[in-house]
Amino acid sequence: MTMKRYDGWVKPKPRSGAVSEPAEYKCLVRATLGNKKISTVINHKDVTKFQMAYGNLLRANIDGLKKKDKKAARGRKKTKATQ
Amino acid sequence: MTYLATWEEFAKAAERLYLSDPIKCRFITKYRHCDGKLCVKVTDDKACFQYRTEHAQDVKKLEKLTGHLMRHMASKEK
Repeated sequence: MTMKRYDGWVKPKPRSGAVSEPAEYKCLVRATLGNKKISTVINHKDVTKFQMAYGNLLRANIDGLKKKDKKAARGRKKTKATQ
Repeated sequence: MTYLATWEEFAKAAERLYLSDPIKCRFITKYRHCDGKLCVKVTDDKACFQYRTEHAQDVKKLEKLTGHLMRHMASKEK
């Protein structure tokens, strides 16, 4: 997943530097898996909605990582019980 | 191509890099389930910072940083 700031320009900027500042920035999000690609542009008003959906997606799907704290706590409890 | 040791260092570096030139900076998240590894990278094609983790508690921190940067990327200010 890649995200970057997007100002609506799809062409290289002219070298003269005579570019007016865009009134509003957007956020460009791209995601790839193998050769599949999807992308979207998030407007200012959609940020919260996207963030909630993306946060749920992260938490639901990144479940292959080590749960360090829980295991350590359980180990400690067990040693206490045997003593 | 520097891997930073702690999340706090990475978050600070990422924010600094982003604020130095917002339009050039991009933020990449990669997750490999079979390796159980999560890799985050922030770069502006000159400097590059990376962070690698295997711990579930970093997911929450990643969510927070992503949200923070995304909010700024889509805001009106420069």
